[in-house]
Amino acid sequence: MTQSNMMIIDDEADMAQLICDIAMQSGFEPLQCHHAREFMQHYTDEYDVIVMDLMMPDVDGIELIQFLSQKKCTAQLVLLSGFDSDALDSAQEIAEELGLNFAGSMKKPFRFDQLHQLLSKVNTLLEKPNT
Amino acid sequence: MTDKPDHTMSSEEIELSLLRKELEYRDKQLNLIKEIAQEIITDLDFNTLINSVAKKAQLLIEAESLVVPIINKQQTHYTYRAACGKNAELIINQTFPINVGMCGWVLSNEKPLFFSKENEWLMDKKTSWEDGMESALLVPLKSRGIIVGGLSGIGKAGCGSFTHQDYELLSLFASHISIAIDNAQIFEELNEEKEYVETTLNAIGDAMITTDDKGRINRMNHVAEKMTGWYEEDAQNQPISEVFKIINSQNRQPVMNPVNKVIETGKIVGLNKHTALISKSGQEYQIADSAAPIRNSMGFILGVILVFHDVTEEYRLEEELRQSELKHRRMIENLGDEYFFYSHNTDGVFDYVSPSITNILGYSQEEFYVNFDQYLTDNPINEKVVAHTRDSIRGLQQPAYDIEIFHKDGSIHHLQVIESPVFDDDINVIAIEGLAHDITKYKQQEIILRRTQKMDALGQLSSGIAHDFNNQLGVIIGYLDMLGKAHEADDKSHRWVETASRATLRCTELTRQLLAFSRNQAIEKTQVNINNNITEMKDIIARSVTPEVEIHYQLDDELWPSLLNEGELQDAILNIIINSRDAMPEGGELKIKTRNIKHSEEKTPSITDIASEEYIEITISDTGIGMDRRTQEQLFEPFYSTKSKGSGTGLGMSMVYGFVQRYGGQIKVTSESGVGTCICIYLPRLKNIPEDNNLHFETDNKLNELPGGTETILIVDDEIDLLELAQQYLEDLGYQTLITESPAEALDVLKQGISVDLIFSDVVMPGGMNGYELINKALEIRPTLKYLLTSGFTSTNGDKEISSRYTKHFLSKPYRHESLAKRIRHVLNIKDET
Repeated sequence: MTQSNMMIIDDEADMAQLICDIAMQSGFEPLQCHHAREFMQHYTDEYDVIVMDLMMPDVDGIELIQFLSQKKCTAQLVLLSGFDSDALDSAQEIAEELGLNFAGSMKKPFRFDQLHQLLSKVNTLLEKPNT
Repeated sequence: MTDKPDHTMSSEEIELSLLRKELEYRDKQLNLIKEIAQEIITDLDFNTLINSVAKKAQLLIEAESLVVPIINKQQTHYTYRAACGKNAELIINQTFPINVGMCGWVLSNEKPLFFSKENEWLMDKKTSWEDGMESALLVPLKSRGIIVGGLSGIGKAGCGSFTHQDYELLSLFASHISIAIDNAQIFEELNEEKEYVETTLNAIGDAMITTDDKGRINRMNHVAEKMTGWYEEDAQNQPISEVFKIINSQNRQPVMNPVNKVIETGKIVGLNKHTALISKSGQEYQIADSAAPIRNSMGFILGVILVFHDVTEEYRLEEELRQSELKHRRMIENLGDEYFFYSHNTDGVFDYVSPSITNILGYSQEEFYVNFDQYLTDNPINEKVVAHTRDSIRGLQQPAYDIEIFHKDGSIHHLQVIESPVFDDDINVIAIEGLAHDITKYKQQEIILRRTQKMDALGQLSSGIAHDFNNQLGVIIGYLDMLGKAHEADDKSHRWVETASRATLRCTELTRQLLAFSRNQAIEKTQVNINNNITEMKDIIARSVTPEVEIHYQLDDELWPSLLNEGELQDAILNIIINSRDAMPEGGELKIKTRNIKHSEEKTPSITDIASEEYIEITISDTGIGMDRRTQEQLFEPFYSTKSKGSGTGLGMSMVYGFVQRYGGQIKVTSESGVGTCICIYLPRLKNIPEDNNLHFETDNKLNELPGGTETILIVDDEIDLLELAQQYLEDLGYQTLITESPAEALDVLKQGISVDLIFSDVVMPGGMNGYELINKALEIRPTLKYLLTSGFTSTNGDKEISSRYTKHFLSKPYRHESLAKRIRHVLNIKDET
């Protein structure tokens, strides 16, 4: 079983690291990026999963979603937000409308188990075609 | 008088000649007297008379000089009224006391005086000779037996003395002219009298007209001439009403002439205050005065005297003064519900307060006069009142200052007072006048504004902090979870991690609440029947309070709907109720009330900034311990709490506040220590919904009760699945449907003239035309076409200007069957906007 590629985009290094740690426990080989702009500049379509924060200082989450849509990104998208679920809901709507693969969202702060479960679910989703 | 005979003549001749001379002389004298008498008859002027008398008498007795002393009326002095001959100009008009000089002797003894060096026989008492005098002849002048003066000849012309003949002649002359003198004197007196009267009349500043008993003018003075425009000579014998034309200056009607009134009634008549005199030239004078009858000694009316004067200026000033007083009175009396004027003397005793006091503070004017001091609250700002008033009394202009005073109903009012001293002419302070402005309303607004600003600032601050906190807490809790997993076997460290996790979770809950307070965008809003929400909450409410608390509901059956987030509404109500519970540890009464309020109908002065004219009031009141002023002021501040540490977060009321603000409402708190607290929430009424289905909106969930119709709807969507889904939904509701997969197809349908009532279209579609553009084109074809757009995009990134124009016609995706039904019906029900 090859491990799925994951990109974690969060401006908070600690938070990115936490997600990274949980993702590893969910069977991913994650990379992290603290600057969405940087991510956009060096974009490649090699990721199976993209975990992204909606609220970042340099690039707005919605902007990033649009970018991914333009790049016809096929990665599974996991959205995170410190604001209320409203923001997550509308971001999900937009992502879906733009044809991205929405895999799930998570409100911050989250518990280990919550994210772990979500990412594990995404992982099984990715493994399906192989089995 | 001596005449020596000629030596050459015989004694007979001499005698004859003497007799002839004598005869001639007598003849001459008689002629003189006759001549003089003639003049006397023709001349009535006293001065002219006595001057000619003096001249004739001088001729008569051949005196060197002749003077005429005349006694004054009081008989104390005499004056040389006429003189002629030598030194006449020196003595004329000299006045002496009655007992001085030869003239004085004659006048006081009423006897003649005749003397010369040889002949002094007529001199009763010798008076001293005046220097150079050799002969004098003086006779008294009498009139009706009373002495009036004398004729005094001094010095015989040529040389020698006066003769007895001279004396006889002068006496005869004096007796002849005495009547003339008398007449002349009477005439003079009369003239003087006349002149006096005339001068007097003309000297009077008032106008005066006299008439006869028929009201015909006799006399008028200069002032009367000037004012009536008539000369006396023209006015004489004219009827008074011809000359003295008067009208009522207010109604311009003629008024009865006072002269006629006097003649009619025989009584003194005063003029009406508003009488105007119209002069001959048309000039108008405002006049005042009176008319009175002139009666003879028998009491018969001989005529009327009318006296009047020009009061135009006074009248104008008086009228101006009256108007100005009226104006100021009006100003003071009509100060309305915000201002009152007052004045008091230097002892602080009030003598005036505007009637508006009753509107402002509830007291009558009398109550205020007497009890003002008692109405002041114990607020320290009132301590300055005494100092300000004292300074005012010392004559110092005071800056505006504030006082706090009880309304009759017990509420506290703020007044702003401007006071100034009133001075008399000597710059002594005699009173204090002031204007008080009730600024209670503004103070309240200021407090609300200040609170709003403060809360906004706190909101921004806490929002930033909360967001950062959330992230950090997320990291902490995440790793704590991982730690917990790593140490599952180890009981001790696992417990530590659990405790740390719990504490962290409490922190995340706090930040959640903070975010709820500071969130400025409302989350998902729906049409809410507040009553239904409260009814649903009855169980929770009952469980939230202690059993000792009695709960009463008073919900308005006709309550309007509101656009809210239900969860937030329920949170807010619960937060208030929990505070009420804590305020009533011993139990009490909790009242929950709802009702509709129309801004225009009810006076709720503190509700000012509410967005809607109509709003819903939710009142939650308790009979608890109440709050002091300080607590009330800080009530809504985050982390402000009166509860013991650990039992409250200090965020409950902040959340309530944030909730009300978000929905354009307002919150009002009234509380009194020991009595209870009443919290009123005002939320705007939701409008723009069809009347027939707005009330039971929330509860109508059954499909068959959803609003439907039979109109034809054209559905446009590029996704065939969604297209079919929408078609299914709408046909279930009874509508006729047409489906097209692109805007171009939709326009074709319209161009073909197929009947369509409403077009329901997606916004984002491939093919170069989006939903907005489609609608624009469609409306060009059918201007009355109704439409509803749908999109998964909210307005976050789209063209805000465009989307805001379509908000009424916009349904966000994904939509539920129910909301589609309502929105379609709603749009169809909108009356044509053209």
